[in-house]
Amino acid sequence: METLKGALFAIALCGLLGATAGAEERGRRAHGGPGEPARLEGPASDLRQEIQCLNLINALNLTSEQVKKILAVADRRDEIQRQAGARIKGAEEELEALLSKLRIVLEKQTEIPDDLADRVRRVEHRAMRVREEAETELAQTGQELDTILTEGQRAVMESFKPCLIPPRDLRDPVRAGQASDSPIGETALRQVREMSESEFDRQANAIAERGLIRVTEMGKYSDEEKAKERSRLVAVMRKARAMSDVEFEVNKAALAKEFQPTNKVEDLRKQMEVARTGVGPSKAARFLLSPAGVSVLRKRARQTASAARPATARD
Amino acid sequence: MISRREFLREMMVQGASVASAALLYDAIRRALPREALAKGRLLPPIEAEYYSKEQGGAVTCGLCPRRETLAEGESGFCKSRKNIGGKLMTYASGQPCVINVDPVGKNPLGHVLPESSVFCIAHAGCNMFCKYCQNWPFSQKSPMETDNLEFREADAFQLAEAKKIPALTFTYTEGSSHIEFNKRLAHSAHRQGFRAFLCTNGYVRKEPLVDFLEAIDAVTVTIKGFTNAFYKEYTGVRDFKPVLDACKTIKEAGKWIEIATLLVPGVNDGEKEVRDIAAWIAESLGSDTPWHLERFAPQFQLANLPTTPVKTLERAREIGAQKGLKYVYLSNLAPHEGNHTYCPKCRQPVIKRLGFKLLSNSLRDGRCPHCRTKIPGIWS
Repeated sequence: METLKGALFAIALCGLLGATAGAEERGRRAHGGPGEPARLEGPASDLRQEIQCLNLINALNLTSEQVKKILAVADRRDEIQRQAGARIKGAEEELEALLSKLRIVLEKQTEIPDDLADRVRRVEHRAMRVREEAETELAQTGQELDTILTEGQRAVMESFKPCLIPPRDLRDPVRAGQASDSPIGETALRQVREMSESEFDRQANAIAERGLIRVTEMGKYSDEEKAKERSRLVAVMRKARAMSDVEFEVNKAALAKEFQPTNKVEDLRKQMEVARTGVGPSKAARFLLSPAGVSVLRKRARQTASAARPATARD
Repeated sequence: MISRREFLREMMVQGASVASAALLYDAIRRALPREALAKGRLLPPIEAEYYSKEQGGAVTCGLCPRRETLAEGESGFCKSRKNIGGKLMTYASGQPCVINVDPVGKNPLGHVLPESSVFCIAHAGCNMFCKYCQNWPFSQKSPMETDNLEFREADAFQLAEAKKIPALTFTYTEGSSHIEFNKRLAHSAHRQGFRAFLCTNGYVRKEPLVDFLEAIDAVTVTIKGFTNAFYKEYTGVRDFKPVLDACKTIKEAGKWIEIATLLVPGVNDGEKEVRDIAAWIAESLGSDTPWHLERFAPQFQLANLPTTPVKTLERAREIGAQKGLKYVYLSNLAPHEGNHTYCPKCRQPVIKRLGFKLLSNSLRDGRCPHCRTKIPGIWS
């Protein structure tokens, strides 16, 4: 029941979009630039990011020493970005002047002079090189972060998915000797097994259809893809029904995974990230060194420091 | 650096998966007729062992130190044994209420086949009443009250073989309370080349325990506290000495033994009690005996208590080491260095874990790969 409540709460949160009316700041965030879709960030956006980082940092069980080291890396990153920013500024100012000249030429629809084209390319290239050098240095700090974390913590990082309400295995880890944590998929399949044949035949497609609703809202599925996914989910249910009790109990975890509707958007996004970066950037750096992550870590360091202070006479 | 938009997008995409599962579950619930939601498989009871008949149709159960005398129609404290017609009968006769495949570390067993999963099985019922029992929907019920599973031994062993599961474990509830079925199944497992493990509260008399141990390879005993006052208040047992005696019996029988203690804040987590348990393990079972210190989560009748602080667990682990115990683990807390196995000589980690999940095992023939110190356990 708790699992269902948690899941439904997550649905409600995921369905909420930030408010766009109200304060001027909110209004600015709500509307993108020309040709851009309206932004969906609201006033709770910063809080969302902080909570997601809190969930991760709570799950990692970082020592105070690790927190110090990570913050030192964050400070180094800030310095790299500051220095890179200063170098880029010079190039950008020069580029701005050149691009203004280029704009005039294009508005007049005349030939672009060779030396202007050449200078634009050179300055643009210089700015890009500064960015690339900075990104390489920043990537190295990301790898440094991976050496601060233990193997166990890196394993937690790998499986971490940002959410407001952390999944069961982070919030309430499976415990030694625990009989049942009943993930929602396993419970659902157990119920499917209880249905009479006629009831199942009537309901199977409708059940699969409802499961697809949320996922298909997050991706453009063709009718053919929807039909294929629906059939697949019904086939999983039939497979679960055909098993003996022992067979089901032994295979339930794998079946529950199979019973998850395919999230097309998430799958494609992961493929894109690997294609774009080769390996993907350091996940630890993405979260722990984000502004929200650093903010949480600094508060944590302060809390640890004040807890370690010796008691005064007044205490 | 991840932008706000990326964070928000990520959250919505992940949320879609959770939402889909919830909608599926909701649709299924609504499709079910009410009567389908209650299920129970109940086989007829079988005659129990370890009892004597008394005058007037009463019976005295000799399985656990309670040695209850039951009048006709009366059930034992364990809820699975009952006097029917002047005979002690057990309902734990082949309809388990839980079957799972778990990593062996979840038993917990840290020095036994670390790369394995085990076939876990439990009938309803237990001869203790632990106020913080995490499996109370099964342990504090009779097999007549739980939704039970149809169990076919041949199916179970066939599946275990297919999935390369090397052992079965009697766990979650009190395996010794269901000794008739479990003993038979354990012997059957041995005949078919599987191992059998037992997780027990240790509250069992010597004769049945010795019988049971013939078919058991490794045992986890939960030493829940170290005072009669604790046991009486929190488990319903007046005298915990039989638990310690059971540990010695297991050791004398040459079976592999590991000890688990759940540290409950403000209840049994005081330094003196922890020291007493550690000292007893080291003296009576040996310093090579693994000790699992488990973090408590609010549960059952102690839902008002907080989770065990990390510092309490870490301090208890230090105390265990000070008392000479070489292998002290922290359970239900991960990631933590207390999840790993360290060579007692060179202190290098030889088995690394994330909770119950094995990350790496560098033992070679049961020895530390760095200094070749033998690490005790069942490694193959």
